Amino acid sequence: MSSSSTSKSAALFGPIKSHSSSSYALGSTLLAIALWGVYAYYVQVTTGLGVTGMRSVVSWAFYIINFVFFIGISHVGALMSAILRLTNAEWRKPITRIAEVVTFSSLMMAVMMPLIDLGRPDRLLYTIIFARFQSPLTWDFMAIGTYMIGSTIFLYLPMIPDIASCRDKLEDASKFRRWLYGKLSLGWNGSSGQWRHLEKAIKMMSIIIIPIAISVHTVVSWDFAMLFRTGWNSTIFGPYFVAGALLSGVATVILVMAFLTKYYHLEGYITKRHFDNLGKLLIALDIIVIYFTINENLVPGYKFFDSSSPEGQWMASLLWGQYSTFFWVQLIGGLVIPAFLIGLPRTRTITGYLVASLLVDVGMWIERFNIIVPTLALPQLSYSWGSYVPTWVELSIVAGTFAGFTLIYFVFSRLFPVISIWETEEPSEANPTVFSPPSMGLTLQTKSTSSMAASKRSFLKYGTFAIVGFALGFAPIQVPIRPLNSSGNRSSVPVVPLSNLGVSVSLAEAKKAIGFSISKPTKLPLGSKLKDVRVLGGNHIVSLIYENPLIKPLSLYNEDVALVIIQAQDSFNVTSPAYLPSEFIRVNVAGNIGFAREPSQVSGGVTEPGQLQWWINGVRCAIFADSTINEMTKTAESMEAL
Amino acid sequence: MSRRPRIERRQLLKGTALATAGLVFSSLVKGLEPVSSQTLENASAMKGSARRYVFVIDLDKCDGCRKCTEGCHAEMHVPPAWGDPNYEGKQPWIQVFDFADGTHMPVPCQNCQNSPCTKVCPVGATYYSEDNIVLIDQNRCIGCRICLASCPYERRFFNWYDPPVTEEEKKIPYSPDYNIPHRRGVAEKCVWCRHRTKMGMVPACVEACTRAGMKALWFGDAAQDVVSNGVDTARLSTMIQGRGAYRFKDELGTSPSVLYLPPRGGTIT
Repeated sequence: MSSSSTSKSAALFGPIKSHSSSSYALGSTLLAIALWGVYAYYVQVTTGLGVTGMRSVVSWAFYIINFVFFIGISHVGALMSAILRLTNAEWRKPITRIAEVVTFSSLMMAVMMPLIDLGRPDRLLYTIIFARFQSPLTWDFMAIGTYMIGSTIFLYLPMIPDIASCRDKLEDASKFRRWLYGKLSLGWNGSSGQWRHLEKAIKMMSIIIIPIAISVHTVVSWDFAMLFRTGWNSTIFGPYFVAGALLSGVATVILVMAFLTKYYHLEGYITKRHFDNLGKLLIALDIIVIYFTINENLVPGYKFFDSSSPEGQWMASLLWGQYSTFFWVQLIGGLVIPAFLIGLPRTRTITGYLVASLLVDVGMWIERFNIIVPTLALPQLSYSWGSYVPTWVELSIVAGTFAGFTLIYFVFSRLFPVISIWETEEPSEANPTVFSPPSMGLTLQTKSTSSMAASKRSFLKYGTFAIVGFALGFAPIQVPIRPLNSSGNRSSVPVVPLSNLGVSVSLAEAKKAIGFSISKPTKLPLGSKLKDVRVLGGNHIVSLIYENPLIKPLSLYNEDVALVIIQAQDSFNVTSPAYLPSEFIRVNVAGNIGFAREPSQVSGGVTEPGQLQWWINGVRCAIFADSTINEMTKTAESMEAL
Repeated sequence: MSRRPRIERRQLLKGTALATAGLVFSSLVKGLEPVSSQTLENASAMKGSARRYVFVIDLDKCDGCRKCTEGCHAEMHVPPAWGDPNYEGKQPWIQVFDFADGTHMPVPCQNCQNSPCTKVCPVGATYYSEDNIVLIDQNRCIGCRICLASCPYERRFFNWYDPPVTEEEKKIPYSPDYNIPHRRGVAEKCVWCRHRTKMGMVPACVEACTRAGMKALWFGDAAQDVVSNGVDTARLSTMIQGRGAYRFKDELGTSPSVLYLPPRGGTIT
């Protein structure tokens, strides 16, 4: 690709300037795989989630595993850039952006996974409109959203000087690129003021991003730990997930780094030292994850190791049962062997690191599988295990996300320098237009008395902003926190909406729809008028609703309803009522069995209307009215078939 | 340079950030307001009902005939389980488990009064009805299936494909009390036949059990101390007396509303 150049940075601009045919081949292969995944998703959306291997017992599988995995590898950006930046580890400079782009592209894939997993993706916005903050999934959506924005800013900020270099240096670039660099460089001109603000912003973001990253993966682990499932009843899930995330992230960076060095000839920047240092990180994290794995399995294993307890069955399935292959492959292949590969001096070569990283990444994917699938498959009640085998749809979509991840990375590396130029390059004669920070020893302004007065003024000014915001919070704005109950504005009186009785129809329509013959009373309290007819449950239940301006409306309903007569098909001959409270007394309705009760005060000032239930020819009838048993019986006896 | 604007961008951003922080802080403060009768009422909305529906399942009488499941399937037009090897045929909203000692155990939705499924739902599609029955609004459900994962009784199901719906079912107005017509991509659950129970009728499974002559399933209102199998009525307190009634997985603190009466002389499984 790029020929030998007088400047090292030519290697950084090389991939952006020229594209070989092999890179087009790679790009289109990745695009093809990703598009195949899109097709598989299309099939899933049009036919239903049934095309996957998931069923009611194992109801989360490959998509959620993949989600946890990609969220996991995204952690490396925060670790590598933020922690190493704050601790002034100078060696990290060439690989910071490599790690941050891993974060960016893996997050792009991770946020897609829950959406792909939804049964009703068309209702995605409901998660915001009807958000309930009691749900771990809502925490998840919020945490991932924050993380996505935060890590994109964190990636973007240190890129600004380099984008400006691209803008100025690559004059023969295409129109689109010139436009892109122009927009994204935000008018950067390398003035000392801009550098000061940039460094401050980067430092701030480095501090902010660490708690965000850690909380995101902790919240992801809570999606499981908050549920009643053997195997998820763990208090160490948060740190366990975070440690595993960092491990898989570092492994991914080693893989990406090796690939980029080879492909883009970055040997001048990325040296054996970087691999050695990352190797040290990898082995440290690897041992931490081994420690957590032992802790996570030994405790329940010791306490509940008995085949009759769910924990015992779960442990047995992992240690020698149906999932033991995955468990041991992950433990030995994904954790122990990599530790030896990096630990032994003989295999501490770039190939050794590559093999170890690949094993760790595959192992961590399997580890997410081991956390999710065996726990869901474990019988909660029955003695039969749930089963799960992925279908072509799931395999295609997961393959598509890996291709998509690589593709985003690949396109990024073709548009922007993957190594931070301003952090690694000294300004030189050969590179006059490469921006680099002014030499160290930025003039630290000592605060003079006048600036003290200025800061006092600005304190007052900003204080006003804060107070205005605080006051606004008391404005009567509805925050959409759903109560646990269905009706938002509950009064103390239990009010039954009329819609509970079904849909409103005309009497003629009701007659047609109902499977039995409807009766209508001829004797009703004076002034009663048929207000509404409602049908519920197909041909099951019909309600006649009467209003009467002379009678106090029933407190049961929130409308002007004086009397309700319900008729329902009862499929077997009843000699006594189904379940009726003891205050019901037996009455005779023109020779038919009936039970009735007077209107009464129940509790807290609630009035329950009088009620009469009786049976004619297998039809259960009921009257709800604020009248005596005698009056209701009269009405009931006057019922005539329509 | 042109003349200096009165508020610089940086100042505006800082001001906005501070105003937002103030806003968030004040909404937190509002959340901490002292407990009044109003807030107490909202908190105890769940307890507002005069009803306290219960199931009583007499394991001594159950012979494992699965008539309850069949009755449920007919009444609720239950969708198929789509090849789940654990559930042959249709989704067993009330599932009967057979034990090695010859006893059987029907398990409907336990209607927990501290239910894990309503707790975890991100959109409030699962909620308590006015009479404290756990319902699911399929017009709101987003199909995330966290309720399936959270139910310790495995009494949640999912419509993986378009369920078969007859023309007749399409005419039925949708209500969370009846959940018909069924549709794809949402969770399903037993709703204790709320369309029947609020009419004073027993759920379809209870009716089917009584009709089969077993009388193992009883339904009623604990607040009024009464249960019925559709034909006979009994006092709940008398029925469970001396029978060692227990609630399934009570130790989880979900406060289920189903009382199991263990078989006489048998062991509790």
